[in-house]
Amino acid sequence: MAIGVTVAVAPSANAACAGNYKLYFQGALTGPAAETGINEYNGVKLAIKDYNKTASAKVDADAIDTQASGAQSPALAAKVVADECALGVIGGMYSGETLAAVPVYDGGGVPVISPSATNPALTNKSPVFHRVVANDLVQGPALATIAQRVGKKIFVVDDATPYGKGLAKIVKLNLKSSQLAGTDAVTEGTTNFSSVVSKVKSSKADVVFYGGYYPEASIFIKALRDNPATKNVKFVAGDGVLDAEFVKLAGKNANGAYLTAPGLPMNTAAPKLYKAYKAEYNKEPGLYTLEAYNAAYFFLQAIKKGNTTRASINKFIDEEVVKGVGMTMSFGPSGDSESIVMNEYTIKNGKVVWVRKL
Amino acid sequence: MSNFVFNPRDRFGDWWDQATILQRSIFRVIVVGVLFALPLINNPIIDTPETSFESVLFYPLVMFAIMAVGLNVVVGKSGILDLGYVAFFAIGAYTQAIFGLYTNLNFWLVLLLGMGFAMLAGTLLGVPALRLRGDYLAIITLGFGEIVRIIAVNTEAIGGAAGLTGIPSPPPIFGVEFSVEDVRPYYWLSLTILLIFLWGIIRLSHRKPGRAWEAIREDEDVAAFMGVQTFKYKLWAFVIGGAIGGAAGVIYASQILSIEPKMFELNLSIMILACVVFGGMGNIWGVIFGAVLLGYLPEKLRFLTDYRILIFGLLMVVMMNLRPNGLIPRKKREVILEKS
Amino acid sequence: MDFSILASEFASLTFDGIVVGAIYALVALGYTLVYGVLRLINFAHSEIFMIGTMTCYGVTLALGISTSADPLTLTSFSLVFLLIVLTASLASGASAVVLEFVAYRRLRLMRASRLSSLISAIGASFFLTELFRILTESRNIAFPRLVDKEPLFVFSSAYITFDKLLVLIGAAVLFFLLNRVINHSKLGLGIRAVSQDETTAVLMGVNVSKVVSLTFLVGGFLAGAGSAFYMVFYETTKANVGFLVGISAFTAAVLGGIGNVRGALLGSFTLGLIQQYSSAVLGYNWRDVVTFVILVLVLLVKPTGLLGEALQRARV
Repeated sequence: MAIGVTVAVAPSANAACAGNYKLYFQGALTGPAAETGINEYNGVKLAIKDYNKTASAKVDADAIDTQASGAQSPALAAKVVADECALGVIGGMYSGETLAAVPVYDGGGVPVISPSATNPALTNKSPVFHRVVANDLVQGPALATIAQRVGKKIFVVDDATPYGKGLAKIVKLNLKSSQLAGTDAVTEGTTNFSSVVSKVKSSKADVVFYGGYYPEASIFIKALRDNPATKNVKFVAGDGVLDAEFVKLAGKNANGAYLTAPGLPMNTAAPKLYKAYKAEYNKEPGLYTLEAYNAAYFFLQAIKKGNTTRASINKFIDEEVVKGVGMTMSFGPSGDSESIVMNEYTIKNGKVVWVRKL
Repeated sequence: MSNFVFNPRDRFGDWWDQATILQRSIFRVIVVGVLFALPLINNPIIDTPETSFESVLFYPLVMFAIMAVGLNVVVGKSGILDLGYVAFFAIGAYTQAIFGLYTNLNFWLVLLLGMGFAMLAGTLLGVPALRLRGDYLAIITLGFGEIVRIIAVNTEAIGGAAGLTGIPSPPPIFGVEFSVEDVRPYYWLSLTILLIFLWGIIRLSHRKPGRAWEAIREDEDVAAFMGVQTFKYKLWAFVIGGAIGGAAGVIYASQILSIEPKMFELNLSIMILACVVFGGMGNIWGVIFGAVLLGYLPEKLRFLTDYRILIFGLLMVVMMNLRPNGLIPRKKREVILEKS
Repeated sequence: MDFSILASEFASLTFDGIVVGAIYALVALGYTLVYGVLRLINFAHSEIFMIGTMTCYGVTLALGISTSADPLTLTSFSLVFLLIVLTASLASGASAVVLEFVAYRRLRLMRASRLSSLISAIGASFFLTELFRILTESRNIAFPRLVDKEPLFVFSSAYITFDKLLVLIGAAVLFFLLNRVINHSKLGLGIRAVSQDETTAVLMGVNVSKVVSLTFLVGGFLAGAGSAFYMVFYETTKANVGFLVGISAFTAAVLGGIGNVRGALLGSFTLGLIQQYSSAVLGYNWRDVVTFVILVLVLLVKPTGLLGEALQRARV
């Protein structure tokens, strides 16, 4: 009975890729944040599928499921680094898991483009890290400006996640102290907003800014609208809330909300892709599907132009400008996107409506 | 009580009892040698699909094993139901993070500090809580675990919801560097620490503290009547368990480079508790086995990704119903029963 | 820390706190009944509640009520709500009985350690949560607005709306019914007997297994009914809603004295009020810390909870 035992040797980057090249997606495919992750991964897969239609050397899609957790991501990232066929990573999905994984990718020279990690701490984190999405330092001031435009006293609520809290902090910094009516923080999964609403009421605020995601935001806005005292308070929130689900969950109460997002919703920016996505996956694209698609697209363009090593792809990402689908991408030396566009949206009659570029 | 149709521990136990010191030493050396060599083996049978086997060895395997050994002192040996063990792990991790980021203290000093803070927390919690009865104590420990996490989330000074990043690694030991790409030195370090703790606990178990814990576990009132200072020993169990958890946290933080409160949720407390219960409460080898099993299986079964936790929950129910005393239960109780 | 809000919003916070407390009470009663009979913390009771919420949603789906529809008239609402409550109660009750049979029965008969039962409970809880997470694809479930929520009248700072009154009245009715069962029925006699002394109860001819099953059934009914009120009030649910509500309800039960029905009530309303007040003053994110700190303090002073365990047992 022979037991196969070989001593593991740390592989070099492209020693011998026995099969097709691979692009990995890092994010949550299971767990509470799975919805966003699955939508992003679908975008990646679609981009690769489209590329493979006309490519001689096919590319495979693969994924590491971090459950959006910084605890799991480094070990999984190490797996990607060890895979000789892995040329790049689209991910991580959330800032926490990205922050944890980037040092590992850095060590292995694996280029990374994140479609949705917005924490400012990722700027200048590593030469291999880039992101398509705007970091909160851009979105925050824009939100503060909108809030100041629509009201005089602003109440800031965050959801104690790195994203929500980070965004709320930047918004608060951009407000004059006389404009800040009060603050509160909730947790993910909060359903009972009555005490928050009471605080908003007693602070006599006329605008509420919510830093967080759409599940809690939809419950919050309903609670605000149900209370006669806060019925007409304006609601301002960022891209974590901008989602078709928000409208669905909040119903009529969503109307009149002011939201920002770095990109256009897919059905406006890339209608053909939108249709193709729906046909392929039988569901609506998600929050960052378009960004994930384009991140993969960037990698695929690099591969198409003959770059098949991690180092050359990273160089390509640093230097080139790529016209993707519905957006043009280029990255600065800090890793942040140079072509950030921040948009303002509102909800009218149950639909997300684009208002203006900021 | 023959619930146990197949009990490997019995047969092994018989051999061990009659083995000479030389035989026992050789056995120990072989086992330790194999354990240290594990990351170097590259065998598809034991390999884990989507993660690197080496990193699985470190976390969750050895980390769980260390924590299971610690929790075993509390739950298994002394019968104190602790549902918030993750708090000690978190305290250790945050100690390494904060001292590592903001001071230049030696890693080993920070390790001691982490254990110290965990012990302090264990004392602060234990002094009021250990006077209460079983289930109430359990709830308070649950609350404690949650409170530590929520305070971490709400306190910006220690990173808040985003946590802390850039935690330094340990300094090189015997020339072996600790870096972000290679997880093996961390594995060897924590394996060494595990063995040290094991040695310490086994020594304690054979002495007065161990017997006191045993007595408290079997029947606390009787133990008190017989003159055992139950409160003192319960507190000791609690504090020792905490220290071990804290040590695991320090090492974990030094490897993972960034921590956030989300890593220290109730789920982890439950997981470690499950390791202890599965493996066989009180039996130190059993709980290590439990830790290895529960840490390894989800990684091995990752291909069932979506259904992982589902199966895990089902397994817990099935396991408890078929083997309520764990896979490898405590030896002593059986001996007593056989004699009677 | 803003104490002024306590003064300006006192009536509103108090009223909301009582409403929240009523919902907790309906779930807490399940915990306390099972604990009284089995000395077991039924960790999976929170999922029984969650199953109730999902059932409520299922009923609205079956009736074809969309989330964007207008609220119903009072008569339609009464009929629909009655249907929802009954269905959810039955679903939760049945789930609870099945849960007991699958996860706990064998352990009880084998006289296994409490820890094993606890682990089995936790495993069941994980299983059920994951099952529904997969079924709902991790999404939040939106529940249609069945009844108009315009305030009926205003008392100081409090807005009294129909759904809040419904919760209070419904809870009161259920407590009354439960009281009758516990104190004036054969089942209640059985429950009290088994909680007091199982061995003697067996000797006196009580069919313990039947009592246990029925206790789970009653606890499940209450949780299911509670879930109906919850859904009308909050209009949302998700797979892990059990955990969030369960921790508070469970704390409430312990606070009042676990095993003690009146304790569960007292604990629930007390907790509901404390949560509202502290959220307003300290911020919602400190709510759980306050909850546990209060619990610790109470247990330190009164180790068996505010009203003590019903049966004055010093030891297991």
